[in-house]
Amino acid sequence: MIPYNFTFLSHPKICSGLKALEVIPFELESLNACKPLIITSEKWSRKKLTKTIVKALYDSNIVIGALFDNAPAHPSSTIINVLSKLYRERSCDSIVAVGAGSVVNIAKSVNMVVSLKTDIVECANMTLSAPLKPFICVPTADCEGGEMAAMATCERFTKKSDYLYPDVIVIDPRITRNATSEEIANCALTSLSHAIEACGIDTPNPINDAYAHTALQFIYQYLPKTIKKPCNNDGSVAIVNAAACADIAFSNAPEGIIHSLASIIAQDTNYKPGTIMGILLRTSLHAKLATKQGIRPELLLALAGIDTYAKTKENERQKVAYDYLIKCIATTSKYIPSTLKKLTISHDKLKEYAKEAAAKNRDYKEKEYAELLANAWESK
Amino acid sequence: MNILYYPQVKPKKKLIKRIYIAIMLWIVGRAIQAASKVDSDVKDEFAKLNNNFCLKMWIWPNGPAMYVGKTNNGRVKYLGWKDKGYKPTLTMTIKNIEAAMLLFTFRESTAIATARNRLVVDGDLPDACAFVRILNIVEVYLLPKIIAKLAVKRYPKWSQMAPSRKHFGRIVIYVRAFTF
Amino acid sequence: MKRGAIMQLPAYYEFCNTVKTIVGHKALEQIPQSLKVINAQRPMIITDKGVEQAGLIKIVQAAMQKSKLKAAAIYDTVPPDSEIKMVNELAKMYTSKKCDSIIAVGGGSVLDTAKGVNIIVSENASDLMQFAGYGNVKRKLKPLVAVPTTAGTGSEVTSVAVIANHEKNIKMIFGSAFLLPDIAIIDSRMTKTLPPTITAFTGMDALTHAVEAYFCLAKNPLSDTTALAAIQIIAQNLVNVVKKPSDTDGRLALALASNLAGMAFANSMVGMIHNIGHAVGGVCGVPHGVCMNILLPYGLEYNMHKASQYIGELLYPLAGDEVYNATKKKERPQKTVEYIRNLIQDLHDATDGKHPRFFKEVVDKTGKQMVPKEKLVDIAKTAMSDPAQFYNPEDLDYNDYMMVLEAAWEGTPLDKKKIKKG
Repeated sequence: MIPYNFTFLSHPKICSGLKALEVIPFELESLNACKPLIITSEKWSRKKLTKTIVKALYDSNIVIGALFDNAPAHPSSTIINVLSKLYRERSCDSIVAVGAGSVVNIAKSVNMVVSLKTDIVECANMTLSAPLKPFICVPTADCEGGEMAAMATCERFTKKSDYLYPDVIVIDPRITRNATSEEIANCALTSLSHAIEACGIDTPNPINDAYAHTALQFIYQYLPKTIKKPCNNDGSVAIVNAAACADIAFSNAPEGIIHSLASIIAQDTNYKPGTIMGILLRTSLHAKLATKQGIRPELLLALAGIDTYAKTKENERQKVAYDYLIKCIATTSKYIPSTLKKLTISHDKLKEYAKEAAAKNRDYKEKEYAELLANAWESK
Repeated sequence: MNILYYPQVKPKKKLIKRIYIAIMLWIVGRAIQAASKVDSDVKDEFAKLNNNFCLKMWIWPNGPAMYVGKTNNGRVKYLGWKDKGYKPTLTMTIKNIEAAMLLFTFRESTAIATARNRLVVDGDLPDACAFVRILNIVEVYLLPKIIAKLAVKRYPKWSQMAPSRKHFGRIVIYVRAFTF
Repeated sequence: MKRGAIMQLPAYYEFCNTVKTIVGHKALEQIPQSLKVINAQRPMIITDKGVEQAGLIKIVQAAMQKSKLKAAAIYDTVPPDSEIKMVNELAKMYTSKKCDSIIAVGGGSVLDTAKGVNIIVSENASDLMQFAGYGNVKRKLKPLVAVPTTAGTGSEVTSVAVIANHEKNIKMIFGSAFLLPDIAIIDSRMTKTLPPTITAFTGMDALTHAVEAYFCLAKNPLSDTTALAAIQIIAQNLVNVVKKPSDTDGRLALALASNLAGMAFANSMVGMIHNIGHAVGGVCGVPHGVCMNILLPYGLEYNMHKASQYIGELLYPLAGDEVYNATKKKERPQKTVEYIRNLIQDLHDATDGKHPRFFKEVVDKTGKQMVPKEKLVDIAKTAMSDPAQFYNPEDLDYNDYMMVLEAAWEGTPLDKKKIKKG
């Protein structure tokens, strides 16, 4: 038996399901807060989600310090400074982010600035050693990965710290069902990649596995029907739950090769990280299956459930797990291409991406990055 | 950026839902008072509680609320919805008005609402068990079987509550609850 | 490809697990760095005499010494039940020695005491009562490191503390997410010398946590996966470790399983097994783990009609995939109960008959019977006042409690026909 040797931390409290939004005032109260700054993007106020949020806070002791619904598509120090100023002027004591991607990253960055009382550049270089102001994340289904993780991405840096986890993650169908099939596909592929990379590590970590397996169960069970009908309450809640569990698992594992490459390519192009991860995951699984170690047979347990796992012969579990995973990825094929060649990426850039990834994440050699990209270029 | 575009927002109240919950709490309070005189099981449960027993069931943070307590001579009384200096020995706090709506429209039973952390029970926990048993009996009296079955974990069979007892008790409790 | 054993997405659920868990044969050595990162350098060690006499505090101190961290104060006389006088005394000691953090080494009562002390020193409070109840601790407290020495109660991941006030003859309950320890250290050295009998019933305590978390009303996807992981590890290791106490890998596995089970039940609560077990413990003084161990198969039998699918699924982590596959779906719940009874029997045999299988055979150190049959009436009445029943799938009245207690006393399975189905 391989002895265990690991550390695990999951900070956020997850509140998921029917009337979840209405717990926000009680949760803020238990964190000693009652005047949040709510940050969201114009996309969600157009879809009247801001009205839903405000209504959910009715009949409570909350005063919304300000409801800012113009978060831009990319975090910048300008917007962070503006929002920090607004936070201070209204004497807010907490932050609620409604959205994904940039909305949440901006919120986390503002939280660092108002808690540490310095500018964002300084914050990027500081080691956080105490909790920040209370932060509630209300994710929408267009997650890009990392929103509910222990990290924040700003224009020039990605910062990882246990204190960057949200305090509470509120997953409500009234919010999550406002999604397109493409957004669901991207969210699911990001979560799938994070979960597989998190539990594919060499040393066993049953706690991390539990979170990763929960994410895989949600995705396998709900993706097919949610991609056809993204407004489905249960389905959209399940996919966002998968994103939450996968983000937590991802925060507790070393950064994987797929995440490293996808974040670089996504930043350089207009593609969502989920799109790139889906392509790389398919290729990576195919390559892994051919190696001696293969893929973990327990993935089949997570995806297919106990009955199927028990019925499958031990020496076939890896192959069947692979088939299940490919089938899962294939449900997104209408929205996500299967190779990098089909994207508008220049082949010449692949070498550059591999070099950049190797410089950022030294767990893998440049050769390994390059090989994965080369295999993902055309269908293999 | 002009911060006046993003004003402070003070959320309003959900008036109709508050009124509905207030009425339901009033009915439950009055029915508990009535049942304590009519039903032997409810009488027994209350008899085991201390004479300073006082329950506050309310919606956080601003009510509505229901106070039910035992008087010095052991009588069970619905004390109203206003806090007149009562000292609750058992508090059941429902976290928000929507959670209360789910409970009082029977979409979630007391057990399910507790399991889903919709409410917080504070104070003398043994009394909470007695109170939940009392509440279950009162719900069986107040509600038709098809709804009561959603509200309680185990609807009493004929051997536990004879139909005659149930129907007679129901009439008396309704009369006593709605008359003064 | 159809998915067997569908995972249930509850209409609503909450899951909270904020404790940083450090697991390993050398996990204790990480205490200094973990405290340094949160600006703590003068920890107070709180423990009890049993732990100290087993030499565990010396091991903790030696591990800390490797990074030149010394305890600023040590208190090793926490009684079996946490009590307010002691909590106040410890808080005074903490302040006078200018401590800035607490390391609690021990079981449930040591941890509860440490949580109480942490409230007083962090809030500068003179009266602990004002924080009693749910949600009255609203701020981050001073750093608390939990080092469990059994596998176990799982109290290193619970947000509740129970502290007795003997003067007023009450038990104060404190519930708040801020009571959770910052760090939990799962190190095999802390349970290595646990005697086989205690290993057996604390292991069964952890197993009960995981099993009840899996089939009770507040179950949710994360508590399910953590519970299944815990059950599998316990099923694979408990008997072996009881037979071979020096198996450190097995010890570490059981300690981790207890932690996983703690995570599961802290979020999905427990049911009638704990409900009745608390009452037996309260009335007859039987150790908690012994009660859990005896009542576990009865809890499954009683709830079978309401939770048969979940009880059937438990056969997989308990017995393995071959047995699971070979058993027809309809028969799996009963087979699960059979496996649990076999496990209890195996533990009974491995401890030369010291591990009790039913209440009739529970004896104290002098050999006296601890649960006389006449006491069952008192136990049933006490059980009616325990709120753990709220989360049980099926309702229980006085007659139901007596039926279960009588069967658990004799060691005979429940008569399914006598269970009133809601």
